[in-house]
Amino acid sequence: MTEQATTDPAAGARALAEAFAARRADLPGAGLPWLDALRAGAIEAFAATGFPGVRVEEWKYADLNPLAGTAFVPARPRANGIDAGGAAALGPVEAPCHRLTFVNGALRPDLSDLDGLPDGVTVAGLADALAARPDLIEAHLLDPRGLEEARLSGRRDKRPFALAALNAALAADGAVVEVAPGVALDRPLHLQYLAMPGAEPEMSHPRNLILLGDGASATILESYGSAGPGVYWTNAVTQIALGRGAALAYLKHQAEGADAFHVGAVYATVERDARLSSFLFASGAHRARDEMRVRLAGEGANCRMDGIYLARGRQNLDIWTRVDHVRPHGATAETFKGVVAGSASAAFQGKIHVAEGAARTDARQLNRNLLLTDTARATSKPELEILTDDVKCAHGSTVGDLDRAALFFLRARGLDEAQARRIMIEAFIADELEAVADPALRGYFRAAAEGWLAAELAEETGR
Amino acid sequence: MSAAQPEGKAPMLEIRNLHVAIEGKEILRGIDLAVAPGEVHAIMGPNGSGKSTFAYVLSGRDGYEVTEGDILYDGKNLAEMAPEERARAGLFLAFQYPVEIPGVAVSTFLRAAVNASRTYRGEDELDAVAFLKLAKAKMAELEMDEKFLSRALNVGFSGGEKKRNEVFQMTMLEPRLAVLDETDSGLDIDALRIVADGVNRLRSPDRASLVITHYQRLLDYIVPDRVHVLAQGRIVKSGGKELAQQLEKKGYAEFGTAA
Repeated sequence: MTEQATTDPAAGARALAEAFAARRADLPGAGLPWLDALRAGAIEAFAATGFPGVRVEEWKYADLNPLAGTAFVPARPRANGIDAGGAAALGPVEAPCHRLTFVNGALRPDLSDLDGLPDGVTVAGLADALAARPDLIEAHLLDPRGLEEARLSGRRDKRPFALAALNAALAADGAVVEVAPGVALDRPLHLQYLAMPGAEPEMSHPRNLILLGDGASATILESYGSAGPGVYWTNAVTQIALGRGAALAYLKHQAEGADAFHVGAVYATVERDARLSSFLFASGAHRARDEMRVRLAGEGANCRMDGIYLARGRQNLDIWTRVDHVRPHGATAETFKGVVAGSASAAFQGKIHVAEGAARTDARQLNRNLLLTDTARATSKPELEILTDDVKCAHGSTVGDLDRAALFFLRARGLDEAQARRIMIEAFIADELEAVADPALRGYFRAAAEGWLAAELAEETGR
Repeated sequence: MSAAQPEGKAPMLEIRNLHVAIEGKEILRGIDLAVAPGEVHAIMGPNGSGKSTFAYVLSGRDGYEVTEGDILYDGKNLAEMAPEERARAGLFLAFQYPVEIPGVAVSTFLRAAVNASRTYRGEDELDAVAFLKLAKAKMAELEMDEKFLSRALNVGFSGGEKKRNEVFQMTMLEPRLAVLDETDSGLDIDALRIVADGVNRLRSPDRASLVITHYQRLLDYIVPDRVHVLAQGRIVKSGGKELAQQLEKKGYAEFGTAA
């Protein structure tokens, strides 16, 4: 990739604060006192700490220096030569979805498709919602001034939330999805983010709000991709709130361009007896950081987190998750699998925190990494913090390469080395794909995995 | 005494003064053997005699080094052929300890293997339907449950099921030279009979088998043309099928224990 003229990270942070000052009056909701105050506090919080560096534990493996050292301008609308049919074709074609399409972070109603949205389901762009229903946004938008990590030393550390704060300051658009109590969304909803890079590096800060009432259910796919080469940065925050007994299948597809930067944070609160099933498929971007924080706030709240990350070339993919059990009878089942090729690196850090009040918690975590080359690197850091008795908690983590005895067996049956490797890598990935319940959506991710593998194996044999 | 060759039939497999070492330690110390098409040879011997080394070096496994001598398959130097080339040329090893491969369904891998051989031979590939039809027919002959096709390869299979799965793969790939490495170990008498029937169905004037076994019992069902005793890395005696029965009575003591 071509690095743009680099500035040092501190200068990069100052430039962003200046960008805010220049734009604040034009951002959606400007003039709403609560939002002006929130945004002002947010940029202050960001400027006070800047980009989180390697000394911030949660960001240790994110390797953000290339990001921090690039000067970004706010993304501009740009024609991308596709129509609504074209946008649909980029999504899961076998699973007809409702769809909100964004280009360079801005909602494009002409490319979207909300026909036949059931009663009780409201889907709008954030900019539109701030104009039409500011009270709703005010009630739910997370104030970054309250986001901090309590350290053992007693210190309150705001650094891990710096980029979420920047998102709060600069968010110009996003998706606001509400499903009323008891309502089931009939088809998956696809929140589709497409980048059309320009000559200069551009940034966007989408903020999504997904709000399910008591007993509501939905499947939501959030995807990030690019229509062309070039450097850009997506800094996204998605908030999820599940009411009592609600159920959400949340699938995220990070397939950003090869030169892009992606920072994505998901903050979810799950109330009593509600269930969150999340699935992350991350294979894009030059540097990507995907963070998920889930608070199981009510008794019997349930969380299943799955994911596949595929890194090749010189990519760095950083996955960071944290689940907080605060009430009894909660359950977490977390499995992430990574495949790392070329000279790429990937890190998985998964923390499960079981608080004193969370008896009868059942929490399982598994991270498996497959290294395809001698220069690939994977880091796996599971962490269980258990502050109560009467819990079932387990975790496992592996980093290894393909089983040589198995490879020899496949070759002894007539498959050449490339075929044998492909079968084994596909098998490693395929069983994590089973976590996607909807067969058509599973097919969408399977095709993405096959494309990645074909490109990687072609490059390996060309080497 | 080495194997006599039928008039006019060139050996399919010719092994001349074969020495094989693993990590520098010599295991095979000068093996001579010739197998012609249509023949079944049994290799018997005590534990540690080098039987599995012999099987592995034929299949091309890493770490098994030919330090002296030749292995010729159809006149070609086998040691220069990669494992997949040997397989496509019609060599099949039924493993003594079949490996488990989680996540890889039997049908997925076997269809790829069958088609790799067919392509090599200039035949059309089998599509999913044709493959399934053939697989089910062969499984019925081996009294195997069809659900094995969708199970991950050897995962959770009993010892006997793994061995039957090896013979199933063999019947699907129709090799010219089958090397069976202690295929009888862990099998009860019924499974033994089924496995032997599978091997016998492949017997033809164009095919040959090397049956490696510790016990004589299998050879009641897969009747060999020649029997060779392997002890301490050498073939120390060869004979007809009666030799197997003699070994059953007297054991391997006269050939010494492993060095």
